[in-house]
Amino acid sequence: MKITDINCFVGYIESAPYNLYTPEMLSGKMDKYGITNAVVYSKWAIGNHKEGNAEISALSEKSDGRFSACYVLAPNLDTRQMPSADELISQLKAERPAAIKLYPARNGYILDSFYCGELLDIINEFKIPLLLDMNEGLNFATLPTLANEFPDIPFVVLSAGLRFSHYVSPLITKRNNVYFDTRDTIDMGYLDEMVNRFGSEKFLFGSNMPHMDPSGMLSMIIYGEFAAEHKENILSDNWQRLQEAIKWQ
Amino acid sequence: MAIRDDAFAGKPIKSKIIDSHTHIHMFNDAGLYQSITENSEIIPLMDKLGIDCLVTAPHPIIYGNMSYANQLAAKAVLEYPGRMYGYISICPGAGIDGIKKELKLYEKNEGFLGLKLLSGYHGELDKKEYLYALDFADEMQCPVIAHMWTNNPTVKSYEYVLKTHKKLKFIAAHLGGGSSEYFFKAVELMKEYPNLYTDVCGSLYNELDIETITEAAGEDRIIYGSDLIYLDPRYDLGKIIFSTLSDEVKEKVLAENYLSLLETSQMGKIKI
Repeated sequence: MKITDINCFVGYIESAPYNLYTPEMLSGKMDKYGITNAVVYSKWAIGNHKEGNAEISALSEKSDGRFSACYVLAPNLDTRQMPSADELISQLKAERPAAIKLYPARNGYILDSFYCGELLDIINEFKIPLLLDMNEGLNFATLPTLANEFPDIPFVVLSAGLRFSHYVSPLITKRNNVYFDTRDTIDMGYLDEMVNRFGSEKFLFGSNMPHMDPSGMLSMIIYGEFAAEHKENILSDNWQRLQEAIKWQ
Repeated sequence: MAIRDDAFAGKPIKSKIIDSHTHIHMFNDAGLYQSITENSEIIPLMDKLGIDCLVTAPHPIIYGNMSYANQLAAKAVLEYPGRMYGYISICPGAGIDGIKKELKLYEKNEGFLGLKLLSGYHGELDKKEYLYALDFADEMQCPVIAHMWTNNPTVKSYEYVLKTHKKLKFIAAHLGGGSSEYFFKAVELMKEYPNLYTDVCGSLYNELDIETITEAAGEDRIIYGSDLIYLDPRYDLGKIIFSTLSDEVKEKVLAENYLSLLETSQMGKIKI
């Protein structure tokens, strides 16, 4: 069984007993639960996009497919923080990250087409999955508009399970390009109901490893009340399809 | 490691499993959603996972509706004997007289195993209404499960309970307060109070794996509970059954530790 965890990181985290999570710790947890590969960002990339993304790119390159790079970017192109649009396009083409992550709250900006239009245009052109944490400035009021304005970006909402069913269901049914990872999707029977009513295509396995333990979410899917093909979709195939849809040329 | 193999195969777990922390009956406050709401729907899910039985304090306890919660538990006990057991829900808002009345109504019902306190939601544990119920539990030697979330109720208030009730079988729910920080505070108290236990229920925001949890608290002090149907039971069960703990330790956490709490109890017993 192939399992891809799309919500992983390495680096420093506040309020955790271990503080610094190394690639070896992530790899150890993956081995423990039979997780084949992981989409990984560097926590340092939130504080220093260039260095953190370079770190994760190097980690990915030497991992033989076990780690895929997720870059953390920001919208202020052509500044000391970010390269120009042309430079970024060249960089992305050359380095081919599996996903991009934005941190509007922590990095201090509003995620909309006015403030982030130029960056989102680039992501839209490439069709790279855009990962957005629930507690990092993602706004359910503006997400439907964003998803319409940038129809080729797969917007992947992370950790929006528990208590968010009122948002998840409409976004799944009314937008073609909004996805959810499974971290926190533990409202009673909700994942089963969503999959059986609307299909499994919009769900991706994510756990926030190595900080969090993936066993609970693994259990939710392996013991899911839905067909084996849906389990395979969530555990790996949906992400594989999103990767194959990226247009690097 | 038969349990882990069955887990990865998605098979029902053959060892005994008692879900010691559940809330039946639909509850949609705070953005929650339940796709499974009826007891008749819960049983097939229990069968799929291999859960032998559950112990419940129905959701009306949250709104302080003690009588309704206990009526729903009594109905579940009657409808699903051996699969559903109840806690006597204790809500201090009803006053000591109200609590006395509920205790009298259900203390001899063999389907009721202990008391459930929604401390935090309903105030500190050292308030007189709770102390009355705790004295009752002390005398009956039945387990008491008390809600804990971060410092609400305060660690100080449940330490007071432990100090004044040395034989009380006290389960500080949610790993002692959800986060690893409060779990380790509970572990410190466990060293001093051998009658303190905790459950894994609601471990969603706790980064510790079950191996770390059992090592810190001791494998005899951790109990499986899931918050079903407030939450999906598959999550917390997964933490145990997919882990690398030995089957022997898993069996303790999944059922034996809880059964040992009932051995000397004068309230109901689980028949598996």
